[in-house]
Amino acid sequence: MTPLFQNFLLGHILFGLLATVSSVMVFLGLVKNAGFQKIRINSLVGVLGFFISWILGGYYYVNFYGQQVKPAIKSGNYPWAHGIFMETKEHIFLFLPFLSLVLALLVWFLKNEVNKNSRLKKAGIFLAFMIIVLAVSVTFMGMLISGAVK
Amino acid sequence: MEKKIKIVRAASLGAIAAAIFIAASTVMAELFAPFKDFLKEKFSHHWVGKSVLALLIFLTVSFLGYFILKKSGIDSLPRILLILGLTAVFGSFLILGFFIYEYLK
Amino acid sequence: MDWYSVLVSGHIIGTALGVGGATISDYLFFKSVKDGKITAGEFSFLKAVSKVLWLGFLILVFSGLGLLFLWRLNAGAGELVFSSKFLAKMTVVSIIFFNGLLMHWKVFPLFEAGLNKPLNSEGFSKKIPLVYSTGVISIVSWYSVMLLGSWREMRFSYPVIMIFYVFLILAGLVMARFVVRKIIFKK
Repeated sequence: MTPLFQNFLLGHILFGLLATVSSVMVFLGLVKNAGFQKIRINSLVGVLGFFISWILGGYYYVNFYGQQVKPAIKSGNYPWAHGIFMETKEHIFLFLPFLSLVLALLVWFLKNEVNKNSRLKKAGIFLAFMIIVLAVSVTFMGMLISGAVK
Repeated sequence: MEKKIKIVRAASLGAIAAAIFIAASTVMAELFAPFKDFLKEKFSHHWVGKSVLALLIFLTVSFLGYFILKKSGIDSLPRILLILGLTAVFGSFLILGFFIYEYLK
Repeated sequence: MDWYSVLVSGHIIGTALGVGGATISDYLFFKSVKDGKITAGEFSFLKAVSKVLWLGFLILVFSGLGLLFLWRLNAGAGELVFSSKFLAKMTVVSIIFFNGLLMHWKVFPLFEAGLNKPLNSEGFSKKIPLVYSTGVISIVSWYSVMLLGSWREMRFSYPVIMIFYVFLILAGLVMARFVVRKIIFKK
């Protein structure tokens, strides 16, 4: 793997992780009624992180994974790592930037309403939690895929 | 305030539409080769095609949602956000289940 | 120092902070409730320890993924990733994570609402199983992760490891219930 693709893969992982951590901070901030400044900044980091991870991962996927990695996995001991988990991961990941964008808009534009309206707050918490669950799932799938490369 | 509620609601609807498209196009591309070929042709890779189209659908539906939807208070927003979260989760299970089925077939 | 050494050191530090944090947290909880209530000072300590725990968890996750990335680049990570020990470790790490979220979501607000109030009140006593359950899951999980990481010769299958883990959780729950009844409810 050339240094360029190494950096793109590493960037994809790091920005994805950063976005996940930020989403966790938003979740915790909402459940603990933390200051909205913190929640807002974390939501923004979450959106940016997922979008950057999307671009970096996409470049790596289209230009390197398909040609070099996929055949190696499919001919190796764990072909299902591509057939099931990579195929799933590359599509599930696409939900994350949109979900995180909506969450960011919610906490940026409607912070007072979120504070006052318990139904809206619960909905925000639920959305943040869904982002976390999907992001963690995608991370585990990525680990399995990495492990399957000969 | 009305504007801000409309923005969040419109973006939520856009995200729901994008999520439905992502799940549906994933399944469709595997079952219907011409669709996958169309994406490859227009966008050089089927996944890039799905990404770009999902983004376009999000922007279009959000835009339309902002200008077309009638005024309504904040009361509808929790339900829309819930639907968004559930759409993403069900979409994920659909995609996972589909690829497990395809692999085992 | 090469990246591998940095990441391994980070992984050890993360585990130490997590195991230490979970141990101190549970010890502090049982010490706090001996007098039948949690004071603001005691709760403040619990929150501080919780922050250290989360820091440990973050370091663990980042360094762990860093190590996996290094293996992926250099020698391939198949043997590791698909080993029953690693899969069990990842299962338990996820449990630590979601248990931690649950603690902050449900348990900490419970403490905050009940500061300086009797813990054997009807309202709190109904929710106490949640409190000690999350505590037990936290401490058993952290020690399990440490053991899974350090016990090189372990060759049990994934189901066997998980059965042991569940057994330890159940044993912990039974013990915690007994201790809580003795201390808080004086039965």
